[in-house]
Amino acid sequence: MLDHDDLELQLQETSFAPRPDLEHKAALQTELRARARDRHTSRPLILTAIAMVTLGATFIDQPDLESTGMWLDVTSIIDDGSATFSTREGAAPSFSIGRSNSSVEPAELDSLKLRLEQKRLAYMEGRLALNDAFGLTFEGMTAYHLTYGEDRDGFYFPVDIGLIEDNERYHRFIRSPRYSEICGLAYEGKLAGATTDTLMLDGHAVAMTSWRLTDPEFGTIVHHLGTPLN
Amino acid sequence: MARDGHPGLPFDPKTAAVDDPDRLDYELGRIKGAKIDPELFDYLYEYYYDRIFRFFFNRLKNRVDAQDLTADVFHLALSRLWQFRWLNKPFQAWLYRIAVNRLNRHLKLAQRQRSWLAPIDSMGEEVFADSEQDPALELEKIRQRQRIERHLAVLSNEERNWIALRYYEDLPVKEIAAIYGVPEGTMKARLHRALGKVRRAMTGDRGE
Repeated sequence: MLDHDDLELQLQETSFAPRPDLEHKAALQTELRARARDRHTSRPLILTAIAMVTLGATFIDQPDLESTGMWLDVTSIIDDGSATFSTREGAAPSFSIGRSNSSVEPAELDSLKLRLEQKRLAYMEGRLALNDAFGLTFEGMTAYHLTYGEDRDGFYFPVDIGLIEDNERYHRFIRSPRYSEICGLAYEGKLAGATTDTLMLDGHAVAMTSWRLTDPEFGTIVHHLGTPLN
Repeated sequence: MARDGHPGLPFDPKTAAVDDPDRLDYELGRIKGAKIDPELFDYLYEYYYDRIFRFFFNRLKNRVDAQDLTADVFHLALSRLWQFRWLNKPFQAWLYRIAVNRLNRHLKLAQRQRSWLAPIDSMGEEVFADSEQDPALELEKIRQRQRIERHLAVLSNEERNWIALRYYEDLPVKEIAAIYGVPEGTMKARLHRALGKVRRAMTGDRGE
């Protein structure tokens, strides 16, 4: 009768240890170095955050950006028509802006760029107050969002633990009516079974209240709602 | 790797064990440095390339796909290095998490789950070409692996990832738990259940 130990041994003994193709390894390294150099020389400051400024205009059309000296990448498009853009200098992602049903006209770019720069500086200099925090744990991974500044022109600092952003089911869930319902109930204080904890996020102490819920389609999720302690 | 030359160090950061405390300190310094100067990413690449490649190779048994996915992982890691934080999750766990996500997406897109058995039949030539071992022993190893893989088919993709990380990559359960962001006990139980399924499939197959 095969026991666990036998099976474990068989698995270990049949592991393949292939020799990597040195040519591929060297070529990839050259490629990564070139990309790293490009990133490094294309901007004076490496940022440790993506800031998102929510603007609320209408949707997505990539304009001729090269003439403006600014690159704009669409990094995500959500079914409801909102999108996230990432501004770049060269190949380096820095700040991004989220727009709802918007088209970016070339004429707008200078003002957008100015607003992003103002937000970036305010954030870097610690002039933007942290006013809100929320998050979700989904399939063992957690994403928090910290909101700096004002609601309409805020600055979102994502803290992604476990690359949740890659999870398609997560994106489906946060677009679902069920998630909206949970958010609404949490803000209204109608969710039961809360636990609390104090977390350090982006250098701030945040009192985080969490609710563990089971959704018939998406399984167990934990909804987090935080209050900054600053 | 001129930038990594640190002859004054009391250990060799390129060959030290992954959990060596000195190496971990050195690695953390490299990660912090690479956020400011991405060229310092070289060390991380050198140290982890073979491991990530081997993980993909063991899961896919296809060199070209394994190389492509390895390249994706390092491109992604370089561009997302600023996201990495020392939240009790070692860099290795963070990197394997990227690899697992990338693999799952690859399998989903290519719908390769059903061809789990197929590539291994063409493994012989490649393994022999790579191996310094006795071809007869290698052939026996391939046959044994084929027998096991037939039964691993009862597992989900994610369960196969756990098995690959634990037994092919030899990662401690604690580290796999960190990759998946779950308590160590949970991961231990998951592995135990997965092994149980395989064991039942194997013994059932033998009519025991």
